[in-house]
Amino acid sequence: MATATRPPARLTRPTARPPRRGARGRTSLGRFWHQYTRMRTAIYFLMGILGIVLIGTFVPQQFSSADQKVTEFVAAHQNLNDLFTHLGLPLTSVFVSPLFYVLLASLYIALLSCVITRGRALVGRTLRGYPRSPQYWGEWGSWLFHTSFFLLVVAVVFGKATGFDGIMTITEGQRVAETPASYDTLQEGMLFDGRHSGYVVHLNSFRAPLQSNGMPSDFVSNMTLYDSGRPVVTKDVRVNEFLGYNGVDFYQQDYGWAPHLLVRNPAGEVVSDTDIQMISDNKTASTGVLKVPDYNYTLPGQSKPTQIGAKLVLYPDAQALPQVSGTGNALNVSYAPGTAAANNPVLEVQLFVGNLGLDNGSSQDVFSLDTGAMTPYYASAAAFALPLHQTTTLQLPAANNGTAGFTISFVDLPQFSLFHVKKDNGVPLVYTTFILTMVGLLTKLYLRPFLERRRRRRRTVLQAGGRGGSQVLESPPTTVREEVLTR
Amino acid sequence: MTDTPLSLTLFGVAVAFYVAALVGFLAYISFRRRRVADTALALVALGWPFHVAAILTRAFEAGHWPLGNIYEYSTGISFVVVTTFLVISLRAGQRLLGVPAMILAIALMAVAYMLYVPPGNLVPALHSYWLTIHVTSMATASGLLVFSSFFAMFFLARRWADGYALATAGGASRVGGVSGGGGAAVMTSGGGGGVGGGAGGSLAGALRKLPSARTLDGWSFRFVMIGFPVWTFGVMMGAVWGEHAWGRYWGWDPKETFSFIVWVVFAIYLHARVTYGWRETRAALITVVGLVAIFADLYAVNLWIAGLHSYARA
Repeated sequence: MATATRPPARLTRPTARPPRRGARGRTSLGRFWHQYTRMRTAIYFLMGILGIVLIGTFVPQQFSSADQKVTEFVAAHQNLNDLFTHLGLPLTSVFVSPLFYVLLASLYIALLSCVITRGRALVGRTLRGYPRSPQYWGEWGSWLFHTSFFLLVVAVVFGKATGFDGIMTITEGQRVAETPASYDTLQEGMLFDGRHSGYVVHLNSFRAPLQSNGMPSDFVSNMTLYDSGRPVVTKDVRVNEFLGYNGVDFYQQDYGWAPHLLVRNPAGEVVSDTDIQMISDNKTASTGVLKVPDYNYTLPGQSKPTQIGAKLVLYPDAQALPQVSGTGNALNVSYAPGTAAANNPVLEVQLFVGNLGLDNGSSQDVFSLDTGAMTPYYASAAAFALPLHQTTTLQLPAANNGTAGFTISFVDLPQFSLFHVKKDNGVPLVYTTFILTMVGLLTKLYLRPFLERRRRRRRTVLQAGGRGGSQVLESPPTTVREEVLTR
Repeated sequence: MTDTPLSLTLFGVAVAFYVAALVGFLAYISFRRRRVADTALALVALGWPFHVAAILTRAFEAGHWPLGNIYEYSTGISFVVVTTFLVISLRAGQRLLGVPAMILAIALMAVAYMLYVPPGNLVPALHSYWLTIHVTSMATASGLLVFSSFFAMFFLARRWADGYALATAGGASRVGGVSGGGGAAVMTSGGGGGVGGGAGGSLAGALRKLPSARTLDGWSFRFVMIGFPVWTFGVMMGAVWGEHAWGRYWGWDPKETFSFIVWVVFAIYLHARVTYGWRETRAALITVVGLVAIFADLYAVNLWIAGLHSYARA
């Protein structure tokens, strides 16, 4: 073997500055590589990562913080953010910034180099039959720790690249197929084969029982999963209990009210019959938007059919406020939020007539209404109250200065459940690297001191035995203890 | 108040003992009487069973593993700190450590009291046996890692005192001091006394009652050696729980991010110990950064930065 003629490779990093053997003879690239893969450089990489991560904790981040906070931060620190963006570190997305990736990649290249160099040295040492000293096993532990840390990233990348990750909303009683069209948002990995499972999930029911303090004690989606039309799993899905089938996992993420509204145009045609997803922080008041693009009614004097839209506020347990508003205002009772239980559901509807602006693509968001090309139904832009199971009749101008009545009905109040749906085949690999990392770390930190202590103890016993006895010493001398804890 | 839960009463008794003990340890610094320190240590040992009882009764009152909000979590970490201190004191006869350990334990319990929540149900997200595994590991690791910083600070203090002694006495007190106390027994004072006058001199004299710098550095490392794997394990278990509950093992949530920061800080420490020019003083400073990071992770993230881990007030 060629390696046998080489001097034994150094296994530990030198603890004192070594003479720079051969450093002068290296090419500049070699010198750079030497500096780049040194542990000192790795420490600086780690510190750089630390700095970026620190920014990420205090500055609201896209994808993990609320969008509004991110927008507010960018607005308040425009110049600072621009400056950092030019430097490759946009402040509101540091975990996906070029600088972060460069540092991570640098660290991993250095890590890989370290793992290869040290692994080769260890293998060489093993093949040459060097004595299995405590330090030798410690080196293997360290090598395993670093290698498994490297493999962890491989596992993460593999899982993300070959899987997908999305958010899906399902209303009570609804059936949804696991196909791209069913998702609110969906991210597919670069190497994902594009074949979604097509499993159909049925949200049988949803419940969020409230405690006396008004907070839910639990929130549970009862779901049935169908594979090729056959029900295969029925399960209560809650935060700590997901529904998994053949690698596709459904996680309970959020929930809310989905009032079922039915709108008829002046001709009496049903022009909208949908559950509207409402969003809220505390479930005692939530907001949503009704959009009726195909209203199929043309106002007098206009060439195109009009559209209607409304901003909605839902109080599941509306508390009627005693005061009555001034004359000329259609809202004669105002409401305040009560509890999160559906004791007295009331919708406040702020209606707009005109163009929803869906054609220009600027207002596709289902949670916001672009009223730029719309006029409020009431001159004061007031809202009217619509209790559950009731229908309100409203008037629109008709030909010959007449009016045409149309209706909005609050038919029902189901709940929706929001699921995080994903496929990630990397998870078992990630867990494997966790185990290897722990084994490596514990070997490095504990096996070597343990073996050293045992070796010393054995030596002490041998010495004691040589003096004519075979008793085992109860405790090692203090010098041993001193050395162990200060190593 | 008639409806004070038993757990809170026991908690109060434990705090009272710890405060008395802290006074004793501070008196020990001033008077340097061994008996004063032993009395203070006895007070800690008397308060400890009340602390245990406070945690156990709280668990029964709340009906869940008592690490579900910041009151319970702070009480838990202070329990780890006090227990660790007791073990070190009884095994190695270290007394001065009582000052930082008691200050920290009392501060943690004060924060716990300020953020007190009556025993009650857990938020749905915490309904899991992973609470026991993940949160207990994190609390234990936090409680252990702070001791590495304590010893590192003692190390820096001892280093300074040795340097001071060397400068004033011109090498007369070298024996057992600066060079690391080759023959010094494990946890007895490694030298000192007879250092020049003045405020600096008396402080240096007091600090030279500490074990040798080398021993202190060893103890600091030892606690990273114990705490770092527990922290690593706790973060990994958190990842497994995150995958189980939310469908992602890592999401750069502020709490996750900060636990990563703490992990990186101590990883840097471990590498620094084998890097020329980074050992000793710089390594010691790194553990102090680690201490700050642990408490930022504990409180700043829970109270001021909203994230998935914001269970503080639940």
